[in-house]
Amino acid sequence: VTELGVVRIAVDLDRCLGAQNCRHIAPDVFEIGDDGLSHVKNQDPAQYDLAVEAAQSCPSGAISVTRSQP
Amino acid sequence: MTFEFDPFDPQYWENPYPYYVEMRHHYPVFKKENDAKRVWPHYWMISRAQDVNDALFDWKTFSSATGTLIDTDASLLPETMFHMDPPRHDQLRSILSRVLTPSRIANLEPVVRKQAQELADAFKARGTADVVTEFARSIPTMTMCTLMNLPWGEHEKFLTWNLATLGGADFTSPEALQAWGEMDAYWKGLVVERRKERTDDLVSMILHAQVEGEDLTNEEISGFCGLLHDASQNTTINMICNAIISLGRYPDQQRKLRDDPGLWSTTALEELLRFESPVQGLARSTTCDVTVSDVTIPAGDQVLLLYGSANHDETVFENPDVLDIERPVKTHWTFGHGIHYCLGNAVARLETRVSLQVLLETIPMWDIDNAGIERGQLVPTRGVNAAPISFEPVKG
Repeated sequence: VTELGVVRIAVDLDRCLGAQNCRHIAPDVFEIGDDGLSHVKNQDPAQYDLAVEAAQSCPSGAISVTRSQP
Repeated sequence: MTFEFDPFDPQYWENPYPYYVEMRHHYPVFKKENDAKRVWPHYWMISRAQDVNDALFDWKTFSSATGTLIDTDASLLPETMFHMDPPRHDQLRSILSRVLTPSRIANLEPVVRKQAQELADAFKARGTADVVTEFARSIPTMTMCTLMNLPWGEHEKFLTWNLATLGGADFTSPEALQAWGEMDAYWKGLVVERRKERTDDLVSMILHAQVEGEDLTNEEISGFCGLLHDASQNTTINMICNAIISLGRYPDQQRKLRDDPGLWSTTALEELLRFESPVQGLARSTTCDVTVSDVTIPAGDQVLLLYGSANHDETVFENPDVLDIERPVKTHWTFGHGIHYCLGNAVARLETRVSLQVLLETIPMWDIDNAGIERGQLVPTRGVNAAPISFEPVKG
């Protein structure tokens, strides 16, 4: 828990299409696994805004981002 | 009888789906000789959803570097990420991913709505319309002009270029090459102009983007302009037209959508996209010998990934050849999958939804004149050159 609150970023692998928009928008949060799908490598609260943009840009709505207030 | 299917032969254009069924069941990797033999003597059609999907995820084996159009010399076409593999593809794609933001796309909605409304108002009292020329053809060009801040006065030129290069059977014909050349000169001029005066459009944003600390060259930026132009028009025109045709052929579904417009935010749009994919197939070439559904494709051959067939694969969709706007479509291959997944998908979805909504709100139930439909292509796009509809004229 930081002053930015607790951020939880998740990728639904059943929905992920491997378009990799998230990795291009938030490269410090998402990485592409050997399966060609996106995986969260970092739950850093400072990345919240970029993670939200990545979620909005995801063509299959596979990314969820939530933040609890500190 | 020997099975035959040729996506470049007009006799298969109106209804390719029975041939896709035959291929998925009996010839999932179907070898086809190229009549023109411009580059490759033959290619292989991949029709099962699982195989199409696997190929799209395996870009190392199924490369885009020699182009994504069948039997076409990609070195004659402008250099864009459409015809690239990682790492360069990823560097360029990340630029466009970052500038084509959700808010920029959302801002297009009133533009599309206004344009579609004006077009529909112009024919509503007549009771008939060709939705290709009187409706769908102007909408993606308008959207592109807005995104790139291009003069609307030149929209006919943009559309003509797009159809001359990508709308026919030979993408490197003398006419096509001339249009590619004219476009290239236009984009280069535009880049020089935008360097002088920056506006808040995609071209200006790309102009100031960097790859690993390096500025992009004028060539690379004009390549982006070409990509935005090439990928955005013919595809989306056909997306809108095919959706109008589908709803004309399934009046019960059209009625359902009129009664419950809420279906737009749940299932209707994705089902319309699945049912008649505006991009029916794109090509890759193999970088090594690879076995797909027990057939070994040698290295260096071209394959055609049939998205239109994957979207009708009975192992994925129940009753795939029936339009059901309440079908919960979990995935489809209309925009591809994997690293080349259509970057403009959200723009295309918005244009299709809004233009269809406007049409449904402006005119009553329409019929499609099936005999009057003219098809111009099957791959890459499910091209429609004419689609006459009729309806009860709207007074006032």
